[in-house]
Amino acid sequence: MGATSVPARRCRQLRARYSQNLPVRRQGTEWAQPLPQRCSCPWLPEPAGRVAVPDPHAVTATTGRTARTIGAGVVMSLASEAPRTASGRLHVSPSLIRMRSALVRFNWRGWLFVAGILGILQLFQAIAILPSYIPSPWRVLQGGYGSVVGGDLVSSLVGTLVTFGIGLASAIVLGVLAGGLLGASKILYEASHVSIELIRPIPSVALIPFAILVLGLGQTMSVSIVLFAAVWPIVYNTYYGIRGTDSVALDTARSFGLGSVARFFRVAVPSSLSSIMSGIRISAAIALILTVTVELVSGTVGMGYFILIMNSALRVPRMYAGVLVVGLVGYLVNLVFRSLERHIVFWKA
Amino acid sequence: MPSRLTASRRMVSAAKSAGAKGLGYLVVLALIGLWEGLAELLRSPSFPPFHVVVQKLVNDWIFSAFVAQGVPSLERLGLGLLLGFAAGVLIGLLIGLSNVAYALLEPMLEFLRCTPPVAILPIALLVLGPTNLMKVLIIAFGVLFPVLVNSATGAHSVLDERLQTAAVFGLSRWDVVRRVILPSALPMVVAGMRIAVPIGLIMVVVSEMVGASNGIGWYLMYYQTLYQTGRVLAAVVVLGIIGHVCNSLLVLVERRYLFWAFA
Repeated sequence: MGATSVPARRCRQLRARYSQNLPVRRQGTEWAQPLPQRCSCPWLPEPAGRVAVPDPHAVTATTGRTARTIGAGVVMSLASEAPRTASGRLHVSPSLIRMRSALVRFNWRGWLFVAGILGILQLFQAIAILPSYIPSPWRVLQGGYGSVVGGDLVSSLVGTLVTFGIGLASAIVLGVLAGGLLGASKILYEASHVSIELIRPIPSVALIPFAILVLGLGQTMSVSIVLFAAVWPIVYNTYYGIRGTDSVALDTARSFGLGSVARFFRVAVPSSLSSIMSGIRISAAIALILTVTVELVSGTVGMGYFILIMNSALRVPRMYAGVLVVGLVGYLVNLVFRSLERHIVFWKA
Repeated sequence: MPSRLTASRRMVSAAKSAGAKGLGYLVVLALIGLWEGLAELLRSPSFPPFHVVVQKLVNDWIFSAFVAQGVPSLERLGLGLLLGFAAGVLIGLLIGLSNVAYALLEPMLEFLRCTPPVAILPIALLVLGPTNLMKVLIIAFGVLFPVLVNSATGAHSVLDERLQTAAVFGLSRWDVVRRVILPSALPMVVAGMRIAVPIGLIMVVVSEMVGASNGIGWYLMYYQTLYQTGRVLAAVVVLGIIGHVCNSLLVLVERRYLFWAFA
């Protein structure tokens, strides 16, 4: 059997030959058997005057019910105009395909819809008088720009991000440690289970007045509240991740002579990493919500306070600009932590 | 022989689990003792001992403050949850069933989902003023998105074989939605509701802290300005109880009506 190139595995016709134990050779060499006539594989040289057939290797997006072929047209056009190698094989760079399919996957309709709504709002403001609490998008942008130039938006944003960052980081450290301890030792879990179940249902917002009384107003108080709120998903996810380690893996490690500490650090912790990362992602969202809440309620420096004072001063466009910035921060946090999760836990589907 | 051995082993394991539970409660008692000791040591007005908190709890919250503050909060929470669940399930199922609607609404919903609902509170305050309607709407806004996302995912990820079976039986489109898609989506919808209830509770407290004249959030802020930490902590305990009760109710509903969903 000659060397089989990548196309042989993917082209349906070639695969049929391969499965029948017929020789499948690289392009340019002699074929032991004649090729079937209507091969639509783009890697093979096209017969003259061919009809466009749907590409079997096109990017398919499978929904739960139907498999639609998105990008079939794109790859077809690629197939016809892309350069060929000396042996007549098509050269389609994988990065080009990825770029084109990402372009196709981008949600044009959705963003056009959003732009349409904003445009209608802007135009409507030119015809009729909107109530004062619905400013036109252009005025919101102007207000935002004014705040950025004035400096208060940026300093509030920095305050929020610092509180969020310190709170989340300490929650991660504390949560992973606590969850790891609870997962490793059954006695510790049983001992602390009841107390955790008593403390957990308390909404962290309710602890803000108590924290103000104990810690005073300031960043310590904000960071403590964020820490208290963000620690629970991480603890739970770490605990369940460690407890749900594959017992076969643990037994294998034990039969290789690893002690319980080594088993914990080399088997349980890596396998629970996906659970921990998903817990961190959830905690990041909660930490942001609590940061803005604490600033809104207690008046410490940050985006929540910025929105509140713009509201009290009735500077409505700036208030909306602040809300948009907070929304943007939330969106970016979500994006960053999802991609972080995908990078760190690269083995998960 | 074998039965005697297993009997004693069963007794030992029963004793172990009872001991473990007992250990948990012992630790709780130890923590309360620690609290009392620390409060005694510090003697600060902002750190009351445990028995003072219990006293305030019993005095105030057995029925006088509960009626005056707890009931309005629970009313708002109930209305907000109802509104949020209804809207979330409706819009979510619509999005899950229709690809066009999903494509159109996806960026907007993704952005709104990631904004902290607390940031919308000042807008609601501006538009509607510090009224009950504002609080109910902001609770509904906070509750909407988890339920919406989960309903959309649930409606979208109905198993292929179920839909194919429905097609084999020749069901009309409306019948497919009513008899296959809705029941299949129900477990995910209820999971979304379980996530949404704590968020709703947070929104009740925050909206009452910022613009109200009654309610648990108002009670918290009012007694915080008066430096009455005992009452503040008593209100915190009440909130914890409410959160626990809501969660248990949902778990009960889940166990009773959705037992078939858990493999």
